[in-house]
Amino acid sequence: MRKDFVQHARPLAVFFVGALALPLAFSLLARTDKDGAGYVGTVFGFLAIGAPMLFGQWFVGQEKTKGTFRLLRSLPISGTGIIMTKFLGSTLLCLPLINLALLLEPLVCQVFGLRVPQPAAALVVWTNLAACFLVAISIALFTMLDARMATQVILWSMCILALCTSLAGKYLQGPRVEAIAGRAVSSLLDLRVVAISGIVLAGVATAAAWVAALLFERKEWSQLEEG
Amino acid sequence: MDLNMESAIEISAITKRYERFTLQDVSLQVRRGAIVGLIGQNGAGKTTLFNCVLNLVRKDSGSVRLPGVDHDTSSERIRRFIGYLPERLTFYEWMTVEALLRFVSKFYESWDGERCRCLLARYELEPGRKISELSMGMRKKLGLLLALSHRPKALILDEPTSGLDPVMKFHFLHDLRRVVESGETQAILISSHNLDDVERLVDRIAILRKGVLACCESRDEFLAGWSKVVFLPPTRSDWANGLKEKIHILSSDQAMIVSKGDALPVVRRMTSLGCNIREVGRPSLEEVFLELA
Repeated sequence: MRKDFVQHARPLAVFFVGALALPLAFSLLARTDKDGAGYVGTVFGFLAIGAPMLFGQWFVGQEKTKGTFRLLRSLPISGTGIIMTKFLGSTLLCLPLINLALLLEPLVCQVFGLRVPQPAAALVVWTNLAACFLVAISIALFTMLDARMATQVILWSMCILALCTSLAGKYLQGPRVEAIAGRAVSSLLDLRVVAISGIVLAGVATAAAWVAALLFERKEWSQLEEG
Repeated sequence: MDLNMESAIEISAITKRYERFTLQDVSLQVRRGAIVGLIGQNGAGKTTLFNCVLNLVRKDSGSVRLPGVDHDTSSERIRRFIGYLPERLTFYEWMTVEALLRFVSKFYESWDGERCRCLLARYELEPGRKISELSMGMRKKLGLLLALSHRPKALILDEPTSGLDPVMKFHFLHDLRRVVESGETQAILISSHNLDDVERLVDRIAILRKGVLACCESRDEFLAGWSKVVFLPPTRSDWANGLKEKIHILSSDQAMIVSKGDALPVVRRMTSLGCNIREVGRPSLEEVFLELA
């Protein structure tokens, strides 16, 4: 785990700076300081969706493309151990980075004269849950698929998600939709919903990583290197 | 899981099928205190066999027995038991030699820091040097160091001497002989295309041909069963018509026949064909291998 932290220290630092700079730039350009909606969207998209994809690529994809999985597999550690450590390591690294960025961002915005409120507790919780879940999916995809294919699957999924969001924003309007959306948002703040969803998401995330780890264990020596 | 077994590595009827290649029913016993050389042409299945022994690929059938290790269930213990030097080495290029050693050492309870330091000095590897700056030969030395420093009970070395200079090769082969003689490592299974090294080092020779083990016997017995005849062929072009033996051209005017058994019948036949016999003797491993190829 430590090896991964040291190996990716520089890209992680760049990512962290980006996590602060991008929402700030977005807020400055779009002047969304009044309601903070743009800031929330950018932070959520960049941190909760972007970070897991990057972490999957760094922690697993690069081991494949550089052939260093072979070194790891020749050591006395099981394939399951390798992938579960990668999952745990990337989650442990991703969550503090996300939370630090979420907490620091309003302060940075204040320096530039923008009034961005501290993120709501629900936003923080859901960002963490989403990140944890997506880290597992990303690690699983990069383990099971060719690194280039996994990158494409993730990028296309993000594009489809963005398209669906904008289509929903355009076509789902009216008082009935607003009422449903309002109920959905308030239920997201419900502690029981948060707790149950958290358990389910964490369970699914662990199961996804575990399945990927078992598949990795069965991978042939020749499949450990790409490029 | 017999701790008292006589063999350090016992391979029984291993079969591994790929689309275009099959390693077929290979059985090989590496006794304690022995160094076995596995030779064969490219694609003969040497690396596949090693990977099956190390549980890096799943064999289709057959078994491997290592003393005190359940081969089918404990890959980690297999890799603690066997020090492995793969043919193609992949390291973390961004690490220094020292950082890589620190990283790898954490996986082995038996890691011997003192031995590691000795080998670092012997192989002239600078701890502070980045892996990306190492030449092929230096990488090979680093791989050897990693394979030897956790004091494995057995060693599997795939092309260990390629890329090493003659001095380092000499030291390395000497080290291998020493670790086996001292009983520190019970056995070594080595594959190399450098047949002079194999001949110098090993006790037994195993030949793999197209996925099938063609033979496995003691080096001396194996080589004693062959003879070579070096001769000057006659000037007429049809002198070799009807000759069954394979003729190896050595130079513009010299040729050689390597044959199983006594050289006398070959000498008689070649003399009757008008050849001028220059040398009769025991062939080297390389010469026998060329004959078998």
